[in-house]
Amino acid sequence: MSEYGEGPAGDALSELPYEELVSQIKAGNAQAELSMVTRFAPGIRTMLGRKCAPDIAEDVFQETWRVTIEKVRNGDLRQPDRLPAFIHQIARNQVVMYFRKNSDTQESPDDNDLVAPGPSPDQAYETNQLQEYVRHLIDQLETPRDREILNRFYVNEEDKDIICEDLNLTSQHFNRVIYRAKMRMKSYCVKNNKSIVK
Amino acid sequence: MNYESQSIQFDERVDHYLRGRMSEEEELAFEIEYLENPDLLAQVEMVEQLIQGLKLNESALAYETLATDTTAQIAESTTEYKTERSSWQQWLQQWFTPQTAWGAIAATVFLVPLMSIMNNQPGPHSANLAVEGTYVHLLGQRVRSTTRTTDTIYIEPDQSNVVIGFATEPTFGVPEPLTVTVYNTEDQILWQQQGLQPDYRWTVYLSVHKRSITPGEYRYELTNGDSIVNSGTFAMAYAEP
Repeated sequence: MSEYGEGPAGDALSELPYEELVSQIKAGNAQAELSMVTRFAPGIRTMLGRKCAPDIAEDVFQETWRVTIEKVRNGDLRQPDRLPAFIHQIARNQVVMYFRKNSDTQESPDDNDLVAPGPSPDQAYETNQLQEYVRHLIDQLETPRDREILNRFYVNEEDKDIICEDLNLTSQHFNRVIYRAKMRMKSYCVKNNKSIVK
Repeated sequence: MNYESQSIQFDERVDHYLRGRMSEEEELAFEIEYLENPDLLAQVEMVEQLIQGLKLNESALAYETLATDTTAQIAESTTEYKTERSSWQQWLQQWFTPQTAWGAIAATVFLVPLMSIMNNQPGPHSANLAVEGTYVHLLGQRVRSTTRTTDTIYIEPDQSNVVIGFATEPTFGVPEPLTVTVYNTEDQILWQQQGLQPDYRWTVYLSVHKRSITPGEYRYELTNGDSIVNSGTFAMAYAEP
């Protein structure tokens, strides 16, 4: 028995199939709840980060887990093997609810809405580091055309076919530039412990 | 290091996802998949970082190019300014003069870019507030004084917000968070934001809703605790469409 209640704890929980994890949560194992959040939080953060501004995403993130834990505890999850889809759906619903709830204030913001939150010191530092690294990455590209490929593909979101046609490139050359950029970015992420692409 | 020698495969769907090329159904399925798959999630995060870095880099390059061009334009403008002084220029000059009042470093900020915005979106204040002869500079979200000696800041607002940048002085070590307070002429606080961290150009940014920007004079203070780091006045104006 762990300090959080009865049932398995620690690493054992992180390996549990979804059905058993859900059973543990329904049985009152608080560490199973923690394990569920730990397991799916990074993906939910990424997903929310693409749908909302950072400050909104954080609010929706917190609400998502409050609702998820409550529903799983209450047995509202009918198909425990579909736990990720269940959490994902709750997160999407919370995004919709957030904007619906705040839609009335969008047209006439109150004083608090006039000012966007600034980045935290950590975020400001990481942003600067990232920018420096990508500049370094671009400097390492073989030709200015390679830089154009990256910018047109990722920043301007142009289609590969159009870029290749405009620049008279083969598909292989295009793929090679993208691949190299990703490889270098991967080494940056690993070095900075941002993510581990195996 | 020979990257080609490694046989790492990147999932092409990551690019489709991050470039918004997926249908709603595809996006839904993909998001659920990366919730369960840490490796796929790591790829998404990695490419997301790459895109963010590219965008930051493009903004910085655009700024540097613009700053160089603008400095040249200002030098040219100054020459003309001395030879033909008209009444509006004399009026304008007061806003370009630093209004030293509270600190050793004071600056005047003059917002001009709405000249271009108002061409398409006439606003309630635009009719009577022509700002002739000023430069219109498109800086994206980047806002900054064009030179160290010029007290003019150029801003291009996006659809809803105006971003105002306030220069601070470089300090050694980790920069401390600052508070920016903006007052109106009655010395009432209009906006205040705490915990602002200077960027690598030692500028802090305040994002203000466009509706709140009315023409007039303002005073600002940058404070660190009880001490004033920087202060000054600035004027805001819209251009006639």
